[in-house]
Amino acid sequence: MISRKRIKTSRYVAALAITLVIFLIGFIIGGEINERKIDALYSLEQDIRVESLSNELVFQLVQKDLCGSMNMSSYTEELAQIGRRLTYMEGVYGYEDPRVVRLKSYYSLLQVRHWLLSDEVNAKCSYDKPLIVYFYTNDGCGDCEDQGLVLTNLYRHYPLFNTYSMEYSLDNPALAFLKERYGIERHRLPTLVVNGEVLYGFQDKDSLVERLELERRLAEDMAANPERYE
Amino acid sequence: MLTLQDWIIYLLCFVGLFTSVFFALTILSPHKMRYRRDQKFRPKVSIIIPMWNEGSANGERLRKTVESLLACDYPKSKLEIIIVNDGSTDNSLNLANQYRVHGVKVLSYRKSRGKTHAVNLGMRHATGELVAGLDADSFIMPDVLDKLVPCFKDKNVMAAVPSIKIWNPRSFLQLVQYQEFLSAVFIRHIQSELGAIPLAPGAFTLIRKSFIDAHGDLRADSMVEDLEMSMRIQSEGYLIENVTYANVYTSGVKTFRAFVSQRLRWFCGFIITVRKYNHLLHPRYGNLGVFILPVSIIYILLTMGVFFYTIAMLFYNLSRWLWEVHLVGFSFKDIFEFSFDPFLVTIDNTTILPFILFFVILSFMYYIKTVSEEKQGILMPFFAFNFSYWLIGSLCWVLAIYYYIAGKSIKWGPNYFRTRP
Repeated sequence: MISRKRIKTSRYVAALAITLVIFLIGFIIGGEINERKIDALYSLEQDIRVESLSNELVFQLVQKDLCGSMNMSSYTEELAQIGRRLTYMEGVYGYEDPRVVRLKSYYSLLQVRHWLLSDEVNAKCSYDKPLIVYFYTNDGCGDCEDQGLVLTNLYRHYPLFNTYSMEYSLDNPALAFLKERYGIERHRLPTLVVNGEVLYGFQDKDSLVERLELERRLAEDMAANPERYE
Repeated sequence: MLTLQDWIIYLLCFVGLFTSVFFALTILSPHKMRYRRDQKFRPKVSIIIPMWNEGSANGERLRKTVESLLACDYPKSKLEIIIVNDGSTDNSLNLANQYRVHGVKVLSYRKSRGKTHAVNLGMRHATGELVAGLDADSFIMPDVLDKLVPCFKDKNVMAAVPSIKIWNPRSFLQLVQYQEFLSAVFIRHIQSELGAIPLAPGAFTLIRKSFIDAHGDLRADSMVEDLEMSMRIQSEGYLIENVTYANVYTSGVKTFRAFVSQRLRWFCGFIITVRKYNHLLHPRYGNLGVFILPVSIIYILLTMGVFFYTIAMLFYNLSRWLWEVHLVGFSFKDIFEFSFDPFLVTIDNTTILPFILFFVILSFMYYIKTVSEEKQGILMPFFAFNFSYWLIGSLCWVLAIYYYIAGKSIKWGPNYFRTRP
């Protein structure tokens, strides 16, 4: 055979080895970046702990002038951001990943705390901001996915209520109590608790708009804070 | 957690990176300039220009082609130019006859028989030791013959290929073709190092006349006569040489329709010819048999896979979006409103590897630009190609495979070519 046509096995082996090394480097860099994300999430968790604690202290300290000085919007926004990031982590590591499960469990506690606080502000300051506790599961519940879509969309158009999403299969005492109290069962998911009233099964957008009187609230809010809607 | 999409990306990156690394190693392995220009080695060369209806613009394209040959550095006494009129219905023949004063021979078919027949007719009348075809829409640089001819000092070399590029690409389609041709120049540069060029394009590939005399002329029943000839040379165990810095320019097709039907013919012809010469897929034929041809086939399969996966994902996402619209109604607000959180950007191997691959391929293109002494810019074509070819290229492949499986015939010039024997 003409020498140039001859197969140099060593070159093929070298190419394979270098390719595998590049893959390995890619995996290491990717893994490193994700590790940092987990760290970032833990530090975010710390922030929210401080945030919620300070809010509670404010809540207890200024009993007299509670309604004037209580501003929960940054707390709410940070909670929502953690929620989005957690959803993303679920996508990266899967629902089953123990780190994700732990973070979600902790997140659900933060939500319960926020919910209680908001409820109290509602009662003491005669606000009536709607509070929705949303029970769902990632495990074989198509309607839950749809319900999630509807709630996200609803908030985008009417940012006038709070949603607290609770994964049914998480196991902690606070959640267990809530499930017991509202009679939440797996086969009846998704379930919404709207201002104490329990709604089983998928709720479409229009019925939620009506139930929460969102059109009226939107009109009022637009009149009161026109700068928010420019 | 690896999804199907991850697996597809990994597979593509693995094949892409492996071939790239292998190419890089081939470039880096020491090789010397094999053939020096030689004033004494000057065999006679015959160039055949097949033409059909070149009358528009007063034969401007033909004039450029012939003049580039007349102006070339090769001794005139050793250069024979033959124009073959393939039954043109306009005044092409008269235009061609004007060049007789320069010693150009003119042959003519009364009725069009197709390009391959025309080139074969010219080759039968050619008196040169080396022959080449040159389309009437192409032209050569003056030193091309001086660079190509010395290859034939090696008795094993049966053909020598120049770099074929698009001249002055303007439209989007031409930019895409520019990059397509440049990639081919790069790949042929590598294949040449491995003694494994599967395709010596019809545009100005010099062929030893004695090979044609011994093994037959271009197969007029093949829709890719150049590929068929190249495979025949490989099959006989000879070498096809490549001279990267010898430049021939062509204009490329103008319309999308012509673009698709040209690739349909090339790709379908590739399938047919590779099946015909499938015995080449064997270590006996060196790097061609164990690497170049298998990788081409793997690429075709991957292209198919990616195409159908992309289409499926498109439909999947569309149906999901429609379902979402069904649930919450349509609103422009939902489409245009998004917030950016860097945390939500995934950087892992499925983003890192394609990124690496992208830059490796771009650097290959700069390498080949330098080696092939190319003056035109390559960045615009590179992006035009990467933006569009994954779709239009694979669309052409899907069509080609469909034509092949359905046994539909393909039209080229005046002839229909069967995709099944």
